[in-house]
Amino acid sequence: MTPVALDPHLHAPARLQIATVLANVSSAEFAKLREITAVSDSVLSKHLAALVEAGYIRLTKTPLDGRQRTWASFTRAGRKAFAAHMRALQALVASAEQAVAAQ
Amino acid sequence: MSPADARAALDKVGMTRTQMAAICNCPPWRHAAFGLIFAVLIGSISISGTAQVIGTAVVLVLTGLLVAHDRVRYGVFVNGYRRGATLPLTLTYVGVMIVLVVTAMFMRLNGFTLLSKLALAAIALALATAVSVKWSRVFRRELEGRS
Repeated sequence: MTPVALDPHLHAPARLQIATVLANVSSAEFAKLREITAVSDSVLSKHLAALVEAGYIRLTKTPLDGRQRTWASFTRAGRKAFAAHMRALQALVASAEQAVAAQ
Repeated sequence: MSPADARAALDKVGMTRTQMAAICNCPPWRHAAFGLIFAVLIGSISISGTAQVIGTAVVLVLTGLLVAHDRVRYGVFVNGYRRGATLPLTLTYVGVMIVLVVTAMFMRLNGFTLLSKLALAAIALALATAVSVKWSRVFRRELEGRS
């Protein structure tokens, strides 16, 4: 079996939530991500900046309703990393369940 | 990370997906608006070349308004051609629409009555509205892990 590794960039719960959203939509607005993650503007900005730094997401500014809004979307690398991270989490849980079943 | 932490992380992912399914629940008028766009397109193609040009312009404006509404209302943008459980439905719908476009052209070139052309537009309205409702259900079911 190929060993699976957890991605440190997606380890924080808020980042995992951001990645979950972006894995299912083309793009998501800053305010919607803040609503879902339930963190402050500054904390969300830091998480988004970290994900941009890792090359996992891209941010774009779009005028909407007379205001500039920030939209986030996954890069190809981000989508791959999230899929691998999910596989790693599932493998970890499955191995623990197998160990319990074997006892 | 311990298996318990991994389980908690997966639970969080599940909760986020459920949250998104609730957010992406469109009202009935949104589905009807999607249907209307295709009714205008098919209807205008069946009438005349001039009507088609005007109809296409109307369709582009309505599509832009709908996308802008979705962005403001839901805070997310979902591509209809996304991979996942919705893709077979999207591709089937594209196939049906191609058939409707060809039928509309046939009606225009063969001088069908206005009533029959309006009937074709009504069929496009009903089909597109139904597909929008179904697409939304399949998408939310997928998010909730029930697909």
